[in-house]
Amino acid sequence: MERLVRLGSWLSLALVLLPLLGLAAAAIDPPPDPFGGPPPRAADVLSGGLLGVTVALGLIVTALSVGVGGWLAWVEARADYPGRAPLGVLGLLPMAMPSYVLAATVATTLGPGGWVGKPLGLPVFSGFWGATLVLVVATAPYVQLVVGAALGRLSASEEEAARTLGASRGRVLRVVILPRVRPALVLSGLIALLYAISDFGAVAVLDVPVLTWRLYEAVRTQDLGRAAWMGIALLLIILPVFAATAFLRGDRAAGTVANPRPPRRVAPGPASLALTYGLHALVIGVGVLIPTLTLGGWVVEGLQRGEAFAPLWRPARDSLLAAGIGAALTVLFAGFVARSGGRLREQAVYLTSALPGVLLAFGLILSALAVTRAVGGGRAMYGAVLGSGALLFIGYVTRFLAEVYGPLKTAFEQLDPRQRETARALGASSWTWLVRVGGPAVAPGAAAAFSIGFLAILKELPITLMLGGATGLSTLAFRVWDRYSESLWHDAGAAGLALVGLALVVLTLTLRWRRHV
Amino acid sequence: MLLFLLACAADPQPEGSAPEAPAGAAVLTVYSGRGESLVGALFERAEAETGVKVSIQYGDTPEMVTRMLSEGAESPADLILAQDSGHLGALAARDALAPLPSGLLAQVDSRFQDPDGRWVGTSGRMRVLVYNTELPVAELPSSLKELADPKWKGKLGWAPGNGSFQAHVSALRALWGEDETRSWLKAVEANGPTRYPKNSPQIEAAADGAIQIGWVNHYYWQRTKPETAANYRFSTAGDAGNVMMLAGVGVSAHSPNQEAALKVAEWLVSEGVQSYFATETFEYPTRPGVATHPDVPALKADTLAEIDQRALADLGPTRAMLQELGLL
Repeated sequence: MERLVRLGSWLSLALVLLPLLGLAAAAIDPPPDPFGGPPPRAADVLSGGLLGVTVALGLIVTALSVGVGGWLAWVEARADYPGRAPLGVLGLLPMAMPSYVLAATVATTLGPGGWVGKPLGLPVFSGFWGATLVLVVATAPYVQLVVGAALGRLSASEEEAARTLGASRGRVLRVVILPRVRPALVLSGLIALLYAISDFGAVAVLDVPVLTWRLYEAVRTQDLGRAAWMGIALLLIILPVFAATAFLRGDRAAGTVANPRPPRRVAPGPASLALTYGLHALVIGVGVLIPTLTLGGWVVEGLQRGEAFAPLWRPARDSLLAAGIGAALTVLFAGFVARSGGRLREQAVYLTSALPGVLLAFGLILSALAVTRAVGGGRAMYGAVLGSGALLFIGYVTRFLAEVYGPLKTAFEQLDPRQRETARALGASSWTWLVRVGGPAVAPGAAAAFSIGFLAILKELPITLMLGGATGLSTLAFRVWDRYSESLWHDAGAAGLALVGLALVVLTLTLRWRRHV
Repeated sequence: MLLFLLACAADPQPEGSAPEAPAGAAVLTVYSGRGESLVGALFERAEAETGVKVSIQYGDTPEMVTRMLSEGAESPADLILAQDSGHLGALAARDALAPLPSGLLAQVDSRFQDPDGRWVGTSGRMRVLVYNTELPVAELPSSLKELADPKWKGKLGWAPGNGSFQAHVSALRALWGEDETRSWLKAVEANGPTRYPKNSPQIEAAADGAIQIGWVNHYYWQRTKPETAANYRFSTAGDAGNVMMLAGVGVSAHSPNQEAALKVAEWLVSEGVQSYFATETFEYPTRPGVATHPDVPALKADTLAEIDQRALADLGPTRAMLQELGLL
């Protein structure tokens, strides 16, 4: 099995390199600017403070998101308060909301003409801080889910031992708990950072000048060379973060005990309770209620006007298919890397997740074209590659590898190596170990990883459009975008609600499984 | 095994049971920058009416054009249906479109096609103002230039990131010249217009009174017909504000299915399809003699500004100008 894992992890690296090579070629030898402008230079991306705004937005969103999501994960695992379970699940739903929908509905609702903004006299909702709010709400659930999975694997016995030995609560938190969840905090913070710097929807709607904005602009003016340079700039932002991550994650946590016994839940004090409900209200209010009420409002208005609704059966089926298979593949490849522990491969999983989907899709297209041309396969071969869906799923895997990797890696890190040795000493094969011991221990992390991948692909658009068009897949996210762009609100609303519904079903199923293991 | 799985998963399963295409006939691939909501139902009729089996890939027009240019001879696209003719111009400028036969060109109003004959318009959206009906029509500007008047301070909306906006500014550069266009943009910007990410929110904003005047394409209003807002086109004949934005079709120069592609292109400007655009999407037909929707005022002979369609495609300097003015 070790050989399979190693092979798989190298394959993951190859998948990551595929789009990057296509982009590198476009950056080094750019296609001519159709408008006869100067050839793109690396320095272009430094103009206009784009880099500064991008980094600032990324860091602020990450810090706030780790704070909000970390706290919610903590109280979900350790506190007992009315509504804890349903609030915990509802609070994850912003992950299913395409960020342009989230940003647009929040901007309308909280803006001067909206049903919240108007009575409160709020100003126009846009710009840096607007985008910060939207992105924190969009990313905090990732932190909540990943850190929650890590907390769920801790056992009460260690903490009780520490308490018995006279350690204060604060000291137990610092010395026993924090080191165990530190990798989860750092890795989920990294997910938030990658999301914030590669997202286009929220910054476009809220008019924030960041790198992705200019990058889309370049793609839309047939200037792939310039777009590729901006992609490289995004990767350069991420590189120092890798080093910081390795440092922040600290020592690999020693394994947890074999059968973790959950600690007793405590009733939180009034201040904690207020903070908890306040943060739930923020995430669920902004990230779930506002968008779903707005989408619902569009549906109701459509019904009142007697509009005909397009059937949702086929897009729902295609979404389920794309997200199900895509998430499973992403978890598989992320699992190979997480298990193999190769340092280079481990860092590579983050590279492509820092790139906006449209650039990643172009990278894959350029690589596929280069291979086609090299072997002289022509139109037929290129068409067959696209039509097979292989590029589509490679696109999903490489785009979301990092998001799925976080919860898987922390799960593997918390595995107790001694169990493995014991099993081996008792003559169990590595497959037996995987099925009987390792698998169940990793299951909560894998469930969290799968739900993250599933929701991410559920709402994905640029890769689905560009690489999935030839496969005939027509997803709910496509329906929302297609109808939204043409201001056919009733259909956009219905498809959006279907998307949220599907996400809720999948989250409920995977989280139940996570709890029962 | 993995590839097999992928292939199975991605197996396209078209809806319904379309009649089998004649043996050996290729499936025509259409890159459509026009949304499924606009043309999906239309293309379902394509095979029955033309005998050509089509497969459509949807996307944003600019991205599809970038993709087609990168793909070159390997591109699966036989035909491209673009939301903005400006992008067809970009393809034509890079020799990615095949010249169309004169028989096809003759069916389309000469103002609504490429003077070099490499694409034809399939339907048009007129650039108009949308205004709050509390504003008396008499007070509305008779010409686009008047939006620079300081009396509109704090009352305007626009969407500089939008493709039609940029194509219209390209038209203004051709009609007015660079300097005048730049100073007009500067003066309007000094009126502090509210920026929108796209056209349509301006309809609602004008209806709510959040803005008094928005600068949009005509057909969004007809979709929802809010009572407190209305469309307005400039009363001055041939005003630079009265410009038609065209959606159009071109045939890929690399397509091995030229004949079938032309058949579908011709079908798109046929009377039946032109009436579809007029009645279903409230657009202006490009084929002479096809009536507009009752809610859409017909064009008079002298309504539109006289402009070479190629000018609308000259987006590079437009974007540079907008960036220089801080509008992008």
